[in-house]
Amino acid sequence: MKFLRNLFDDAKPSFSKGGTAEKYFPIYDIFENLFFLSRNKTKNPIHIRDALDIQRMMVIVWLSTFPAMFFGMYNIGNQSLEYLALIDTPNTGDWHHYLVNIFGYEPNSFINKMWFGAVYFIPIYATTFLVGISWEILFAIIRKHEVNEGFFVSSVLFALSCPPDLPLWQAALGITFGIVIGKEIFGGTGKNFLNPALTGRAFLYFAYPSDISGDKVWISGLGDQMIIPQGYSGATPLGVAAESGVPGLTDKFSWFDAFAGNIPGSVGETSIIAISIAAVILLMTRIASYRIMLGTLLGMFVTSSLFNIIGSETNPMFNVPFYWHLVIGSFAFGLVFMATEPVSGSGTNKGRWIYGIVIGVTVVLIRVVNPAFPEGMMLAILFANLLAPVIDHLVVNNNIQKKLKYREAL
Amino acid sequence: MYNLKKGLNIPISGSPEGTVSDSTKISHVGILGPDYIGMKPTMMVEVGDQVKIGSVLFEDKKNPGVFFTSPAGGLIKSVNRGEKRRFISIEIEVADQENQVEILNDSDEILFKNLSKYGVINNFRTRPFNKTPKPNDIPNDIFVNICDTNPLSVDPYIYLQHEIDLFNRSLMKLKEIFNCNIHVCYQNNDFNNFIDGINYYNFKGPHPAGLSGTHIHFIKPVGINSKCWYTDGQGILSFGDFALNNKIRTTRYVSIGGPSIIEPKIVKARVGSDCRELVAGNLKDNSRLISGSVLNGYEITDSLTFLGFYHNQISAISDEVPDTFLNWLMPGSKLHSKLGAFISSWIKPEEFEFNTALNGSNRGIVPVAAYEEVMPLNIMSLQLLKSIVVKDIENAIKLGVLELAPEDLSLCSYVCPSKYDYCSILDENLELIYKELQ
Repeated sequence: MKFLRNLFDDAKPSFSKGGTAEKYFPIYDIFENLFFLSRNKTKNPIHIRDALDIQRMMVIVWLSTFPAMFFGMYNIGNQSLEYLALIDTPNTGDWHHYLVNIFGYEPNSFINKMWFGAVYFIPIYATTFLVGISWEILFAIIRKHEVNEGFFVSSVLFALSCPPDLPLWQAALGITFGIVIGKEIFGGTGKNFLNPALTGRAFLYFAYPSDISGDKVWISGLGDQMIIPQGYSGATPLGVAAESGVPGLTDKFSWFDAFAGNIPGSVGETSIIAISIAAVILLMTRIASYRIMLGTLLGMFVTSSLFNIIGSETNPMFNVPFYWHLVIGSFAFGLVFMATEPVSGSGTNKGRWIYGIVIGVTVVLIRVVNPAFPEGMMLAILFANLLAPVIDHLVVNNNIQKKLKYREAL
Repeated sequence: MYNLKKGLNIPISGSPEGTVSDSTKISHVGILGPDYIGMKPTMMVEVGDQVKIGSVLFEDKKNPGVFFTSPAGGLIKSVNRGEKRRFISIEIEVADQENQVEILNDSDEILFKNLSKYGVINNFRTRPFNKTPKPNDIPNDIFVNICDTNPLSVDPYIYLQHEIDLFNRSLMKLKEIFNCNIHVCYQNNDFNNFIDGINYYNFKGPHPAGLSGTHIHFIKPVGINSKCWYTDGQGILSFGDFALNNKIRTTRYVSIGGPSIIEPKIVKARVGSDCRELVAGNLKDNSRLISGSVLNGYEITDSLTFLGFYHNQISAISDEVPDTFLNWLMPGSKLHSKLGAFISSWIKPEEFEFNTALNGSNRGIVPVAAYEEVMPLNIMSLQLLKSIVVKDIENAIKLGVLELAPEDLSLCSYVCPSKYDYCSILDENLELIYKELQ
């Protein structure tokens, strides 16, 4: 520790004002902050400060994704190795094969499953991280400020919301769009009005739909092999539900499978158990807003129940009950990680309830009555992001009017 | 009774308790420029002049007719100025034998004029803008604050009860002169010295329940067209001594506390005491000495050495910031935080040893729940903070910025994970609004 401290102290002059590498201070700052808390001191008139800083806050969110991340890797291996064993062909189509082969394709080994998942997920995450942080550093250098740790969260959430077979160049492109268009051109973390991770995800969704939606992308190898054994489908439960409703769902998956995460889907979205662990962490540390989470759940519950009551002969989604909505697709993942992003969400307490409810209602509307997209969480949150300033405006105005009336009455 | 739920009592160690003692003899006192917002002095004395208690030192150029008088008899030792000749302080070496200038407040009319002439009016400040009232101003409401919920503060009733008779007679005199509503806000359960014609309110709850801004907000909010005066218990005593006894009050009760104070205590000190003299031998090494509270005070430096005119406390915290290795991963059992991101929020130690670490560096505002949780006023805190940061004064006025003094936003600054200083930003905004309204 002493050695590290000396190393940083020695390097600091060249990165500080007047130093030879002054421009690259943000890079130095990232590394220094990684190991040591800044030595900044308080100034007049506030002499003591709360221990929480943005770095700690973002790292907690980042750490809270780990259960979902590790389960996600396991699940990729689980789903894919099962499929590959079924068709009895290793996935020799691309470079992943050489890495997977180190442990082999044996479908019943836990280590093999984890390794398989890691081979697919870690390159996506690494690409996302490196490309994204390069943009962050570039903007920090040009704007002469420090790199905001919010990026740790954006990058991991983006990677977790991708399918395992996503081409790496698409990951790079997606996070670029998310960081640059979704955040940096508006001034960086704290000034973005859209969720950067979702903005990148939505870009891929509309630019390369064949690589990020449909029945073939959720199980790695399925898209390359194109061998579909009889009775086998790589569709996500949500896709199945859209086709054949609850009977089709229960035919293929048990509710508990969907709850535990033993289903095809994006890397991080499948296990409600892992996501719940994150929810508990985020709520206990009070970094995420319980109002948004409860609002979203409430909106989803009411809307889906309403559709259940109305019912439909032709659209099987009408009859999907709320407890299925909760466990299929990216509802839970979006609820815990994406909707609660504080900057792009509503900034008033009342507004947070409304914002949550809007997400919950919209996601069910898109899932049930929109014929074009089976999944609605991403679009619902982005829509609510756009609506958040309006919600806040109404709430704030209401407060101002009430105060005026109170003052007049006095 | 107002029972506030939101807010935060910061559990900092070193709270003073017990009874009032006399301070050690103080050899230097001073008047600080930054105490008076927007004040520009026209000097009437020079270095080397002899002054008496109550001798005029300077007049406020921006508020003609308001004079500042010497809190001690002795020699003008220095006049300190900062950048662009900004007035910082005037220092007086206290003589062994002190005399007071002769004051005669024969009638209410003369007393009214003398309040400005002898600087006693400075005990009152206006809300909005927190400045000394104009000499001919008559307020509709005066708020008297005998609460204090600042970290390390003591309940003012502890020392006020010794002079409760003077306090009550002063209130009546105040009512007689200004013929306005007087609102007294107290927190002590034993307070029972109610007199007719004065309004009393009991405020309970965590900081900022004891700030005048909070009281005014709940009792009679101010705005562009309505304003009020506010003062604290000691301000009333100063006024009373002057109005009833023709005396310039030269003493002030001060609580001395904090993790770096060896023996926290409450003392009766001189107005404008040299803080270093006050804590001599009672301060640990490598500490930051602060006039005022840790949430709203100034660091005692070589040019700013005196007790603030409106300050009731002196605080001291460690100025040593240790290197924290991998802070983002540490459980943090000794770090205080409003939200639950550290283990300390769960094991809940009773007290924390704070130091002067900023605990992070400046970032964009990320709306965390803490801003709302420390703001008991009916004010949209996040929106207000954002609008003052970008100096959108029109919006800020709508949101209620005129009701605030910097101290009212100090908890928002304390909890801010992006490490903004909203107090100084608020100051700039209020100054801007004041100029726009002229």
